[in-house]
Amino acid sequence: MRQAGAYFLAQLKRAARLLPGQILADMIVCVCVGALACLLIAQGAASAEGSRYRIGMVGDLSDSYLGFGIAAVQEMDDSRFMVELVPMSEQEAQDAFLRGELYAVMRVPEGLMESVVYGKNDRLITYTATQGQQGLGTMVMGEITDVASTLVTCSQSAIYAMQRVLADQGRGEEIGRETDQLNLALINLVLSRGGFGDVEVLGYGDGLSLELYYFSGMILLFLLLSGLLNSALFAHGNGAVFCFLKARGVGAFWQILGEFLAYLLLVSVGLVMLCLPLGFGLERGLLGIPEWEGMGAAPFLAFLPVLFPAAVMFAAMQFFLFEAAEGIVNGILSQLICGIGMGYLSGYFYPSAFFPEKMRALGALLPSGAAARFVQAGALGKIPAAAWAAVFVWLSVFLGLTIMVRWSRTR
Amino acid sequence: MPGRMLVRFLLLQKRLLKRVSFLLMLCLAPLLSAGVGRLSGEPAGIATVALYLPEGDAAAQEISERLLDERGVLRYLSCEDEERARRMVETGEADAAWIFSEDLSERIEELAKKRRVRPVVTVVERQDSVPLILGREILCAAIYPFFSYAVYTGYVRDELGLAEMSDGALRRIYDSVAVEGSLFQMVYADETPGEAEDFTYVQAPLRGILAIWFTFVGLAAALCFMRDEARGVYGRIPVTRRLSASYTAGAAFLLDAALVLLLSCKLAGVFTNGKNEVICCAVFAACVLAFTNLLRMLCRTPRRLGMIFLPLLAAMLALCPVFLNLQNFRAGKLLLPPWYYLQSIHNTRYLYGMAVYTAILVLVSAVLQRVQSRSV
Repeated sequence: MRQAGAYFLAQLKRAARLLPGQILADMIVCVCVGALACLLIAQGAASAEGSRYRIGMVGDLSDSYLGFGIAAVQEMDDSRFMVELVPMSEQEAQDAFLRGELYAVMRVPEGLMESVVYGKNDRLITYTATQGQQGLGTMVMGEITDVASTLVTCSQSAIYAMQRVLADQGRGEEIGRETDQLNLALINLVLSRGGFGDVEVLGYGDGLSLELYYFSGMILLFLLLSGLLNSALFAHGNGAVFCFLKARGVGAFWQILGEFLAYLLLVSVGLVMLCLPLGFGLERGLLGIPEWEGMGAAPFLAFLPVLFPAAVMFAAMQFFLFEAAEGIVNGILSQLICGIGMGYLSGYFYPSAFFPEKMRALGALLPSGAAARFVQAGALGKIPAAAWAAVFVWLSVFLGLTIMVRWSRTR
Repeated sequence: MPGRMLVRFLLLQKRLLKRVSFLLMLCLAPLLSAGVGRLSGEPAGIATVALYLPEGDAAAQEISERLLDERGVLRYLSCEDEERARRMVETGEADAAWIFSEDLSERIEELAKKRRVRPVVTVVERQDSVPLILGREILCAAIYPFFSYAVYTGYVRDELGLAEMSDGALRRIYDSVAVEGSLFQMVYADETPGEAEDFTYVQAPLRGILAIWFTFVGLAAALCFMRDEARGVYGRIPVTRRLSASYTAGAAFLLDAALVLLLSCKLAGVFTNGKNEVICCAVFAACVLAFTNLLRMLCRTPRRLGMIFLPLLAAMLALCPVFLNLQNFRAGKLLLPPWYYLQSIHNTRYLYGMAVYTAILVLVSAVLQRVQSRSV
């Protein structure tokens, strides 16, 4: 027992030696994340003040009907609050897109209006909304263009059909006037299309707000990946030392316990380092979380103890990965892929509600999912027994497996 | 010299491939990609909408089919009655419910006759949100084809004075001139049409995740080289030639990882075409090799190198277009190899940019190597 205590103290000293570097790295992470959060908040405030997605329009914009269409979208349509269409040259648009000043570039082909007027629709408006492969934003833009396309093609069909009826009746001379009238009627209907739905907002909020969801998700992601920061502690693992310790009466269980408790010190310091600026931000009202609005840092301080069981469970997982991975290289890479993979599946990046049913179920089963459920329930002030049990089970599993791996190494 | 490097490369490769744990670790990336790629085929959406459409109504039937068959960013659940749809919103099973009028077709015709827009759907929402605003636009687009058709029939009968025209005749004329297809097409910078790549938003971040993982393989290789150097493995190589030795050691790791990266992209469903992928991956591997070696030389000790892992990961997650696509911080983005790689898949401009950046990194490393070897 005395030997085990001495081993624990030795591990504690090793961990303490890493602390200054770890604190420095934590501070860099906090600065990075803080700068990003400030930028996102500033962007959010700018959009709340009326800043819109700028879309560069290039190509043949000379047609007066097209000009009228763009003006109508800018002046009368509901989309005017979200989108700004900016006519510009191809080169200007390319440069602005590369600089990140445009959300997308739309190219109007030559003869588009003729093609639309004659119902051929063989000239497509092409748009580029991303430099790399498409993501969620581009796919949402695809939905919006589908909506716009449906509105235009259905109006076209109605007008051509009316024109055909008149032509069949031998009333060709009326086509121009009637087309203008029907066109106007349809444009009015398109502009007031929002009236098709009678919206009832129930205002139910038994879950977390998106802000608190991401706030807790970011803290959990930091805890999940903090193993990368503590990798130096595992850099000098030596099988011979473990066998020697065993011979001196410090078995696999005591070895792991001593090392794990010392490792927890690093994890706890990392958590405190992260929470300090968050608490400061909440106290000063820099971070807007609806559930904690106007309450300063007090609700966050009450929330802090909830994070600790999740931190201990993640520490056990990281410990197991380093122990099982044989070598620092494998340890780091498995930490990374497991951390990001689990974080993604459990909804730390996108809300898990975005995922298919089976993926959600898998994400909830993983340790990251158990931690998310636990912390989210804690944020709402009521942690069910099942959430406690899931965290405890994963903690026991990881510690048990780590002891088994060490035991098999020292045999 | 190149012969020796090749021998060293092959020996390192042999050492790596003999480690079962390394092979198992490499398998984690394709496993994640295959898992997500497979599961992403199931219905999913950024918002779930419970649909109640009256039975026996032709318009309702068609709207229901159109929405339920669509593979968009919303997920629809069909409900047998209005109460059930409302309950789904109340219990959180759905974010919104769209409850269509019992006499939908008649109501549309009546409104079209007056050329007025009035509610034909009750939209019940838990809380208003951006996905639900988009959802309401999709709802309007689903109703509009019936509405515009009814406007056309009403116009012909009332305004043109052709009340005697039968429904069949009006429909036949409409169908004969109906315009179909989209007016818009998404294209990439290299003119590849968006629909050439068939993957969902669930799969989309996988390439970014894999690119970050690949960069960390390079960092792990640099760490491994440092440990080997400390053990005296490279004792016979003069300090001035250590840079080429570290490139050889890193290349052994990155070659295996590059094969895994390509396989994982294929399994994830984000693979484009073989030639393009191989070229981008090769330049990316060279860039990562140069980047991680420069970091190794700047950090000098494994402990310091280990310390930058988390900040670097945070920077890559925030600045590279994996989950977020921030428009600012361009200077920071230009320093990160995954950013070039993710942009280069459809834009050769970034491929050249990545090659130039690699050359700069190698040049800086060579200068640093010279300075450091003089001070030894």
